[in-house]
Amino acid sequence: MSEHSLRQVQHWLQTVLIVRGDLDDKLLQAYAHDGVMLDTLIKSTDKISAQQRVDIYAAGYVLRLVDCLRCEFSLLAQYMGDTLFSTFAKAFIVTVPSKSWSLYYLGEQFAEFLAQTKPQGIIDVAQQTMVDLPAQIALFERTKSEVLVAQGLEKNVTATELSIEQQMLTCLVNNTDIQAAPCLRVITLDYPILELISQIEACIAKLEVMPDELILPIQQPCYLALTRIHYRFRVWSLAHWQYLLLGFCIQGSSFNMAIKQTALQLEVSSDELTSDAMMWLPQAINMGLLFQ
Amino acid sequence: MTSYIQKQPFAASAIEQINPLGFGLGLRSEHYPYLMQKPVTGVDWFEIISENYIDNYGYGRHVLEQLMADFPIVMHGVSMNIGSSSALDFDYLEKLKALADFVKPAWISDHLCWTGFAGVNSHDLLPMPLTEESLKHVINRVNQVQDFLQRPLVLENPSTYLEFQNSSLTEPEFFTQLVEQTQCAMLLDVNNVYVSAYNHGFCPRTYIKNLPLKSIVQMHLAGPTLSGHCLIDTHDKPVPEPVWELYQLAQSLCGPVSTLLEWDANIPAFPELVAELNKAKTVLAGQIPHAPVQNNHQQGCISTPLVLAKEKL
Ligand SMILES: [Fe+2]
Repeated sequence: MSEHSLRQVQHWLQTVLIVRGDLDDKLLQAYAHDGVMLDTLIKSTDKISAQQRVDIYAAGYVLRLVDCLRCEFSLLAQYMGDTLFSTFAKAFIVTVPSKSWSLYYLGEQFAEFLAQTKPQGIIDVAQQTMVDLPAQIALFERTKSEVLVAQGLEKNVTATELSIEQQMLTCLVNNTDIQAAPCLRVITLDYPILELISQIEACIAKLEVMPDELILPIQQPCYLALTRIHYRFRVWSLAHWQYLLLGFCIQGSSFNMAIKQTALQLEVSSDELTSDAMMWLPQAINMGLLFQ
Repeated sequence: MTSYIQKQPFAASAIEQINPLGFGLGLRSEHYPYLMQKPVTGVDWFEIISENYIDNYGYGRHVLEQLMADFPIVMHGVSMNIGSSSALDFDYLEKLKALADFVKPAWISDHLCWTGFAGVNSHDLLPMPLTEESLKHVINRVNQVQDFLQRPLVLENPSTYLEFQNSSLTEPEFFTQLVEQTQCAMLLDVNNVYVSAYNHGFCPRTYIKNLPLKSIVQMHLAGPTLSGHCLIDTHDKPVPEPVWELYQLAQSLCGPVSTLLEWDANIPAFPELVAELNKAKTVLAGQIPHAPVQNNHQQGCISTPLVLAKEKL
């Protein structure tokens, strides 16, 4: 009988699960770490060997987490196709093992991973677009996931139920306690991807694969606000100043302070921006971006 | 290794005060639209995966809040990591407790397993070596968790695909001593008994008879998949005949115990799940459905899929 401690057993099995390689590589690495031989630790039976038993856990570990990523990044999986998506998802899981008790954080660094691992040295514009888009779609989907579980304005009855005219009147009288909706996120992308997202969603709805003649976006800065109204996801394209302004509000600046910070950053007059911002404010409240 | 702290048993009467809830289903995001549109019938209570509602203030929590008004809720977790030799994660336990303050669950359960070590989470329910060392370790940690949550913990027997050479206790022996020393309760997953018994070649009926029967407060039912020589706990099939037979035996030994049907992949429409759950009532009336164990001829069966409740809309 072997005398392995609980700590040793757990370290060994976890190493087998998370290190790179096929099962033989994994067992070798776990042996190098812990000096534990498979057969001294795991029982074999006539029907199933110790190796096959460990493989159920090792293979299941990756498949399960790839499934979770596929669930969170369903648009990306549809866009890339299942085989390519699974390849990147597996590489991500092996490179960045989960450190959280919650699967919710599993995909937190996926967009960054895709951006860092994209092929370099491409000069063809169309190819470059193809290579750039996965990380852009992943950032959009990850942000959407955050918006869907964040605190929202659903319990704040006055937040979005006033008409534009009522909002404007209220804002003119008092705009001192305007705040960003807690579920609001703003992102900047290198491509305007909303049209592409709609095409992908249409394919998913029709259970179709992506068509060859997909209309891909042309590279240019894109500013988006992602939020939620009555539990429904909403995404809005923003002007650059609106993106900056909301960003400052999210960081906790008052609306008036955010206007000043934005004007400073854009090197425009604060007065000019104030009139644009005040005109936009009632709309921004109705869009679920800000609330009073 | 942590030292063993002998504590006073946690409120010995707490388990006895738990009343059977009847027949329940797992709350899954696929069913949110149905549950919010129709008056919900055919189910007595719901079980939630705790981790899917911690730090979640979206539609899922809204649905949960609506259901809480009409149904008892049980919190079933997958990340307590009770068997790990790493320190207990009190940030997690803090959040679990906060969710319990909101949900006011009938009880809180997790699994007799470990999920990760040294900060890593495998998101799998990994098997314990069933040794005296493990037993002392788990007793110590269950005591700490029960002290922290101020309620008895309910632990489920997992499906296992491997056994350790150094195991010196059977799972029923482990559970019996654990329950005796901590006054925790047990969630008996009869499908997991069937799966583990098949994979390791022990008698599932003897296993059930040797459990601490008085401490079983809940039973899980699910459908596994045969993959090669191994039964995998896939939670994606109807409950097969041998699992119904074990369920009938367990209920006859324990008296009426709350029943929950688990279905976590390829999830059918809500009324179909209710129909499957209703079979449990016919089993208790003496009729066993003739459903075969299903075979998977493709690669890539996933055990115990831990489904991330994806927020829809
Ligand atoms: Fe279970």
